[in-house]
Amino acid sequence: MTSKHQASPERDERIGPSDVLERALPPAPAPSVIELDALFARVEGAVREERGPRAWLRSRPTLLRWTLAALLVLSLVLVELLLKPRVDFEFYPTLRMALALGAMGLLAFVALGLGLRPLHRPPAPRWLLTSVLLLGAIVPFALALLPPAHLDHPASLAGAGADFLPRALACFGFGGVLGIPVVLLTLLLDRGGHTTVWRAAAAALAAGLAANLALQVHCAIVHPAHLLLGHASLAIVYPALWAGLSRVVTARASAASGPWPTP
Amino acid sequence: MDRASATDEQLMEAYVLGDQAALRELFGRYAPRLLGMLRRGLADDGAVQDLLQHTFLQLHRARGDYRIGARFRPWLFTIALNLKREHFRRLARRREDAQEEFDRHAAPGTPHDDLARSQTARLVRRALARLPDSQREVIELHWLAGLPFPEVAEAIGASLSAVKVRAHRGYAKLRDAVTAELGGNQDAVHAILEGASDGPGEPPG
Repeated sequence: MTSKHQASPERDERIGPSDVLERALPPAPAPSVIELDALFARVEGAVREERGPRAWLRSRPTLLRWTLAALLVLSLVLVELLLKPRVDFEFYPTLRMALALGAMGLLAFVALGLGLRPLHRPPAPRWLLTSVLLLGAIVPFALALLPPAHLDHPASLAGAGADFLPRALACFGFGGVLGIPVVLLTLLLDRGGHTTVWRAAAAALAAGLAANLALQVHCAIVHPAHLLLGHASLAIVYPALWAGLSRVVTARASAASGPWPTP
Repeated sequence: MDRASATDEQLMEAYVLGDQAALRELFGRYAPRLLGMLRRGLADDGAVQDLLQHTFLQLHRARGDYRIGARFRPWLFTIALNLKREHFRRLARRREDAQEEFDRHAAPGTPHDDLARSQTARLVRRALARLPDSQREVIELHWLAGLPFPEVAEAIGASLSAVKVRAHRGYAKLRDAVTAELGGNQDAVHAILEGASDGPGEPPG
């Protein structure tokens, strides 16, 4: 063999641990039948505990879990559209509305996919998680910073001056409440195998974007400052809050029960 | 169905359809191998048993995702690997270096031979923990779990050539790191290992 051939890992069928490594870390002794029976009894016990609505939900195929969460996001938008639509729809540019709903909707669905990603698949690349989280924050802010869509309806001109803070906080609170069902459903659908901060943030981002989508079809105010504080900020607050909470919860759980919390 | 002669895939399909005994058969086939992989990579046996339990619990929860005809083994080992990865992330969040986990669970007061073996094993585990994630996971699946490279590639979602490159680099780093830990003295390496050895290790599958 030439040295070039030997140096090529793709062609080298002898890639493996050296004798030194094999002797340093030999195979563990095979477990006894008694040990295996005891371990299986634990598994059986854990499987038996998988009962009830939550166990049913999280054992559904991942596509169905994602669909349920996506349908909830769509439902929030539809409910607002049917029951309390924005009063300035006839003045709002259709293309701009479609762009806002399409961009935030797409990001919400992708975030749901990342948050509900199953354990039998390799983890999503860190760059993808980071990109979705960043875009999920940037897109609502960018939309808010665009020039006002129109100035033709009196309701759209509210939320400025002395009216700014009460209106912005009202929308922030309303949107915050709207996102809660999304967070709760993703918690129920989560299989609990790994609760990384990134996955928690992705699921919560979907909730923040769902809130933005619902507010987009409900709130007629076009003032950029109102949109930034009352709407777009939810896309940052939700993932930040939830990621922080998940970190505290898992840290406390592992402190109580060791590095691995009970399922 | 004769479970003893059924393939892993047939057993998993049976389990998806509600045959609870199929899980016992799968457990019997794979628990020893998973334990072997986990025990060679972790010194804390409590964590090893928890990870094993969680792996099969996750298998149960994810059974609705199992595609008929998909290879079972990489599916299972991907679950185990992801859980192990999360175990170390939790350790890191508790401000513990992964190598401290190894040190803390080393058995005290063992006879000299066992101590030497545990010291060299600890050296290798520490070196393994210091590898980049991408290389360490390939080596864990290839060496400790005995999966062939195509199944390693499937488990981690990379191409076969990328997996081989990572393995090649990882094994080289591991060898160098163990040698460096022992002060670069090859004679010392072999003397310690020959004194601690119980015989040749098993080649990777």
